[in-house]
Amino acid sequence: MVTEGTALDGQGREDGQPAGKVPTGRADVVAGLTVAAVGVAVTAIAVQYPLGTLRRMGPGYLPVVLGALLVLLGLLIALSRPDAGMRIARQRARPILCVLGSLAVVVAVVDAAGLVPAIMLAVPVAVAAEDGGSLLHSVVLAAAIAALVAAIFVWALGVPLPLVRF
Amino acid sequence: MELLANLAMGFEAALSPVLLFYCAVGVTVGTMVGVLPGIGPLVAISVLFPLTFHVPPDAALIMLAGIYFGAQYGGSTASILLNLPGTASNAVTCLDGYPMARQGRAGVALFMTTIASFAGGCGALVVLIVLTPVIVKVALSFGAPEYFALMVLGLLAAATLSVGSPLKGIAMVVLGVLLGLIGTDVNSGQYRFVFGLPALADGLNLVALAMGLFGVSEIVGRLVAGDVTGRPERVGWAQMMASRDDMRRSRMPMVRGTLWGVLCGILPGAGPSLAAFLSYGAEKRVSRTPERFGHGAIEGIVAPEAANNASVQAAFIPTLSLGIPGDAVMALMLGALIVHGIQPGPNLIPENPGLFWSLVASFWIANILLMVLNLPMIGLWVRLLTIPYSVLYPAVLVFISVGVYSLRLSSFDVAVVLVCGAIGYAMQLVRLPTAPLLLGFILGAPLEENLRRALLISRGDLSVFVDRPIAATLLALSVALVAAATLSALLRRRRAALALREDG
Repeated sequence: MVTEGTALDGQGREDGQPAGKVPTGRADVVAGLTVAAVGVAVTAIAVQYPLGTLRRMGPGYLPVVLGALLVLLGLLIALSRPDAGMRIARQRARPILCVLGSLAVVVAVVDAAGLVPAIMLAVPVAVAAEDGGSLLHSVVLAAAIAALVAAIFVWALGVPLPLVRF
Repeated sequence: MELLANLAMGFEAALSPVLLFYCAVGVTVGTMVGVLPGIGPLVAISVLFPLTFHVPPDAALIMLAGIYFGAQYGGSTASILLNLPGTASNAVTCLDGYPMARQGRAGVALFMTTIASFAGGCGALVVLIVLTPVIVKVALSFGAPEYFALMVLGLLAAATLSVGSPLKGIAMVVLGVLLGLIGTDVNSGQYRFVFGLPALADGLNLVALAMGLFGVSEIVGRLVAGDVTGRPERVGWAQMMASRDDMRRSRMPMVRGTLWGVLCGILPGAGPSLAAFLSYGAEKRVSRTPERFGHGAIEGIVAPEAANNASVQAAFIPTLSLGIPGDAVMALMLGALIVHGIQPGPNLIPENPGLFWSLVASFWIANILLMVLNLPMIGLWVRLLTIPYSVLYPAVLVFISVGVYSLRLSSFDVAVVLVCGAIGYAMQLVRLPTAPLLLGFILGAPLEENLRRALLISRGDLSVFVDRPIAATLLALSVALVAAATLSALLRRRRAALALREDG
């Protein structure tokens, strides 16, 4: 689980780190500076909204306060490096691109052509994330998933989804 | 007896075919995702969340709750048979469950964990029934300052009590609150952080956010890390007979596990994983034979399994009585209520007593169904462990996109899933926790609303948070929580630094 198992799952921990190398805590610096940068952006945008007073808070009041707080917290993370022992694990680009790519295919296709074409195109992209997935495997899988989606959403629940658009 | 009459009313509703059906769907799906390592309850709930838009609110909640409960029951299966936790909260069960399987006692382990889960669940439900109305009675006297203080406490507790750095947790809560403010400001009509996108005027879509942060990022994480494979042994009725000695050894650990679970369930941020860990540690400490732990001690599996199931059921206490979710799953439960126009908070039960009591009754039925599902049908669930991940994850991805798309036929929402998935995975890489972000998101708008109201009443005087005793106590607790978390983090660093120096 991403949420609560971070200390348990072990992935991306010190494994893969050459023995004897001092942990740099680079992950924390990246995290902290990114959080701080988001804080700066939030504050910069929010000061353009009416601030109001403490008695009558305008739409900008809380965002400005929280944006500033985010900058502070981000800098604290970068400086104190709470997870200094952790390193960013080596990444393989293919699974990341394929999973996100399959969603992008859905976004691009679904409005124009409907759900079934979107699924038929998105599943092969998703399958490509792993080695050894044949085209036949992905087409059969895509067809099975499309049938399941149609059965659950359209026939069982009666949601009017556009399965195919011309 | 008012309580009995209410319960009877609840059971009458819960035994209606519709609720029974959704309860059964929930627990079956929950057991399934619990058994399968790689998809946890949060992913399953985010995938099925869109379905809840199309069914009545009580059925929706019962189905989602069933998934959460079922995952706790099913999660121990892979822990015991494959030494792979089915969900994070079953990780501790590996320690003694897998050695039991190696000794040929897998059947006994599976039987006893199911019994322990049932005991933990029932214990927590009794506490839920007794405690929730009491908390509601107190909470009904709360005004805006108390609510604001309560939300601050809940958010900080969730940020600091969970595994990992409290500093990062708090940063993510703040970010979540800011994400919750995206859209139209209710007071002034001003657009905030909309970036000219009309689809953002109503705010960021909760489902899209949750699916991206949890569902998509988890799939990416697993694929990058490498696949999960394993071959479990066969288990049937005959192997499940626990001896009288097993029963005797398990009794007290179950009781203590349930207590840990209830405690962790009520505290925001603690949750089932911490409950399982704490109860395992406690059992080892009170045991007269601590050396047996790690080598197949039955106490080491029943206590954590009772604890994690008790915890997920007790988590409904703050969620239903105060409207403060303790973890990301509870945040989604509140989301399901909000979708149906039911405002969470202390008014929820007085205004919808039928909903509350039918929920309680359904929880009980869910536990009974889970016993039935897990004992005679265990062989089926074990077979499930042979489904390869390469078939599962494309299906989950498609269900996520179709589910989000079905809400308002908007491909923009699917794009939000994509972006949140990328962000969620990046957060995972640099160890920024995602659950506090979701809690902040859910509580963001009500937090601002109550802060505004409190300061309007007090004419801008901040002392309103100090002069009112309940608000002051809650805020003092928040400060104490942050101070304690900071202190313990500093101590841990000190110790780690010392250890490093000694090693070098």
